[in-house]
Amino acid sequence: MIAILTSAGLLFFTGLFGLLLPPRPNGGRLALAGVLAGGIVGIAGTVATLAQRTLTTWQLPLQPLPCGKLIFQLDWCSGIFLVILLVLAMLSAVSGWGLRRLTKQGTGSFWFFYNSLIASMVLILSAGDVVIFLFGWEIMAITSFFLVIWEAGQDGDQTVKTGWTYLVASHLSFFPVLGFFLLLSAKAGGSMAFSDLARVRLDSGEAAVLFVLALLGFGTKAGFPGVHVWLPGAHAAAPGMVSAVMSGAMTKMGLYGLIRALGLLGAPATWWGWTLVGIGAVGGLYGVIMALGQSHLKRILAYSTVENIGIICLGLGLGITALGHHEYGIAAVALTGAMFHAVNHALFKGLLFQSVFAIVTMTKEHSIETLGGLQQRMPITGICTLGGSAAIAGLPPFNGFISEFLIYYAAFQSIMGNGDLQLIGLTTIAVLALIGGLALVCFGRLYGAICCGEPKTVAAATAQEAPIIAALAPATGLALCVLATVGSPWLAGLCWQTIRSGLRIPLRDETLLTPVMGPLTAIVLIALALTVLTAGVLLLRHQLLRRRIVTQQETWGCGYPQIDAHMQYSAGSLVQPTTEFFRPVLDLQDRREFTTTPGSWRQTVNDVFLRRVWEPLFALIYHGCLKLRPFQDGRVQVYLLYLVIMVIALLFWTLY
Amino acid sequence: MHFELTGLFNLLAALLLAPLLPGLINRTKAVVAGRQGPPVLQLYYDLDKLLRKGAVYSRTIGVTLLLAPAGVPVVLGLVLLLLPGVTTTAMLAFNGDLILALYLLALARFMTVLAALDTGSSFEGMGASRELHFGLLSELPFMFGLAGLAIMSHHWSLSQLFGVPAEAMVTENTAAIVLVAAAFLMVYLTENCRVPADDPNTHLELTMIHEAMILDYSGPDLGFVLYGAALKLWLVGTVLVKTLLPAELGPLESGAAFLAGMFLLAIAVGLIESSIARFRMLKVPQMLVGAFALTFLAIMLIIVK
Repeated sequence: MIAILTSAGLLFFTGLFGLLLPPRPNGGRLALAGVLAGGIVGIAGTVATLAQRTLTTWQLPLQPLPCGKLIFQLDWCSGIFLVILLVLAMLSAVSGWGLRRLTKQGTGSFWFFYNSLIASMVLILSAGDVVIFLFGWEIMAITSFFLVIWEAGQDGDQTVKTGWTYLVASHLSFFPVLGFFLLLSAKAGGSMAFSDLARVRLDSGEAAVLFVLALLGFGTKAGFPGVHVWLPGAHAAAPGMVSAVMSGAMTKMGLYGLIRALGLLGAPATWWGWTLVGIGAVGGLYGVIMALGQSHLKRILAYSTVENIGIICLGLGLGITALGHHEYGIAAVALTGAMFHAVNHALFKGLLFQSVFAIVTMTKEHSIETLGGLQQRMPITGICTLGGSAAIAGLPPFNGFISEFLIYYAAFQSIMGNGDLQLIGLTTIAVLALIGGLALVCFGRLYGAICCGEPKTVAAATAQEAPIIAALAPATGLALCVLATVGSPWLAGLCWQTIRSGLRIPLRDETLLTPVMGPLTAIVLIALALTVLTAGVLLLRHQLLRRRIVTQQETWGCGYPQIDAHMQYSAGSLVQPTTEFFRPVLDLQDRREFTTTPGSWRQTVNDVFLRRVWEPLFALIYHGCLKLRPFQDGRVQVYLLYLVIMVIALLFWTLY
Repeated sequence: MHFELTGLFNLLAALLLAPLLPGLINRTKAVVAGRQGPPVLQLYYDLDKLLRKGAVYSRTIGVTLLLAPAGVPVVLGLVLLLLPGVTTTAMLAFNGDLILALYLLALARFMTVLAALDTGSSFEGMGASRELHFGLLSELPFMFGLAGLAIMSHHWSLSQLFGVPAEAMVTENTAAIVLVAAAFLMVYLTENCRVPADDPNTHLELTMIHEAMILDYSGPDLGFVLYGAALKLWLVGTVLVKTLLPAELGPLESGAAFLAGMFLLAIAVGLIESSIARFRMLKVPQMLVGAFALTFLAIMLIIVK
């Protein structure tokens, strides 16, 4: 019932209000209870509502309101996104709570913002009209701004600047979203309800304009390439548990908005599919290449979010093009793959951010270059990072592979045909193959540099495992990833329901996904065989070595007596061949220092879009504004003169 | 999803005969160099010896060095379930199994690389770095080549991809097949650490890729990894040989032709290794991009008809 959903939102609000008053730790406890309770109630309510298989709406019984009717609605699309959001919110809250003694996040005000953020996203997902949607959108932007600058103690200036960039980007993207809804609403006769907006008939020109507005507005929030420049900074500056929610859930809000927008726009034109595939290709490739060049742990994960949103766009674009060509089978599989990837990404990105949060908190080091050997010292967190890395690199037997498999499947099916669809299929295959290889490099580097080898600093050598509550959160995420693989045929059907209702595709054929169920079952069987057989071989080795001499020694160093941790391959040197290979498309900065002892070589990979596009653009705007400086005289007399001139001008205007 | 019990012959043939391939390659190289050379069955003797030894482990390792030797041969063995070979159908066939096969190979690579980084040695790190880079570049021509074969045969399951009818091979698709086969050969040489991409004989810095990554394995672990390497020779070789075999052969002839093809391929690799030197490290990515260009050209030829 909608009532349960709104009660979930209200629970969050009570959680947050309750803690502004009592002293410090109790406020946090109340808020955590609010998150968990609200999450459980919300999920239960969603599952109960969706089991009835109809669209449910509920109108706020306060009529008449100046902004029109306030309607809440829940369908499959919002339901699945809600479940992802709430699961991620609960796990992140537990992770943050577990580490609260070592961070600045024990306070009530932190949890106020966190709970409000989750509540605002619940509002967005259950919105049935424009006003509630935009209200939730704005609250989401503001609360996350405060969370991003929360740790502005140490390098205060940089963090606050990042926060401002984030706030500006949020609000710049608000205008296209507003424009989209207002234009659509104007065509619908002024109504703000989604159901009325859905009935609007648009011609191709209007639809094109609205599509571009939706891409700009929702795409910025989702992290499309070009407009992603706020994402790495914001996700890196925010505390780890907040970054988990931001990467896993907030970007999905942008995606949700885009899906709803596409649903409201009716039948898609062919070039929309090509545009989405293009955005997906650029985003996927650029995101992962940038990710493998970063040294700040959270920036790596943030750029990887850009990559995964790119993969989702690839699937969306392929599906929409297939819809345009009436290839419903291909469209179903591609769109299911895209939606499945959204679900998977929330799971494994959340788990990775929580693990990294634990690592950064316990070792106080946030660079990939100063860690190492953490698997021995933080076993649970290490295993979670390993599982998360394998999942996000799209390797079987984890869930990342399943969603990429679905998109590949659709692409291979489309290359069997001819024309437009075949070309898109070929592009998708090539781009996905390249992204897969690059993701392997990136996450092999991540796990290898922080959990393998010798620790490079004292902080890493003396690291201890995170408190058990905080370590359990990513472990639960990993377990959910494994469950997602094992239950993938069922989950794929669920994702198809979701995207079908979100895009309002009028297909009633329930057998569109049956061709892919066989392969998915086969993959699950192979995954199980993999686990069982590997365990078998491990047992065999154990038996073989039982009565033999097994010793432990230093790693072989070719006889060199003074091996130290800095002789290992560092994270930067590990990917140096790859960054050199991509030098023409990257903005690389190398600084060598060979004249001192010890010498050093440092490579920084800068964001091309930021340095070559956005910073010059804003510098231009700034200089343009400086030219207007002379008008700001500072003297009241001059301002009064301006007022007089303006009034006289208005007088003339009204008279003529 | 198609389950075929005769595919078991395929699996058994691969599991039993794979260690012959490195032996054949080394014997060919020896004969060309005028030496006696090791026996063709050398890898079997080595595996037997290694399985009876103890082990030495590094103190630096976490879990990946312990998991990888067990995982890599299992993963590569599972790919055998999906690939045809001696029989025309694999044991498990479904649409899209080629994607699973390629990503299982990527999983094997991931495990090997992480195990290498686990030791904290600069040798293994160097091998890992190059393996990651070359792996990323070789996955693309492999995937695209298989996509080209899929378009040609209108099927995209590994058990049905490789059956291009003979007349079509000679008339329409010859150029495309030759290009794809050439690309597959380059991928084969890179993935299995053969000259010109890597030199399997040395552990020296210039040639540190696959040999370097296994420097800290010993005893049964080393045995498992060497066996996995032999399986990988068989797997990638299967794709290459099957590309060139026509579809009209009956079951027994195709099995015999396949085995003959695999052994001929091993001998050919031995000849290639004896006749050219290893490329400079910077030229190997160029070779792989060239392989991608060949597959791209092949697909263009097939589509634009």
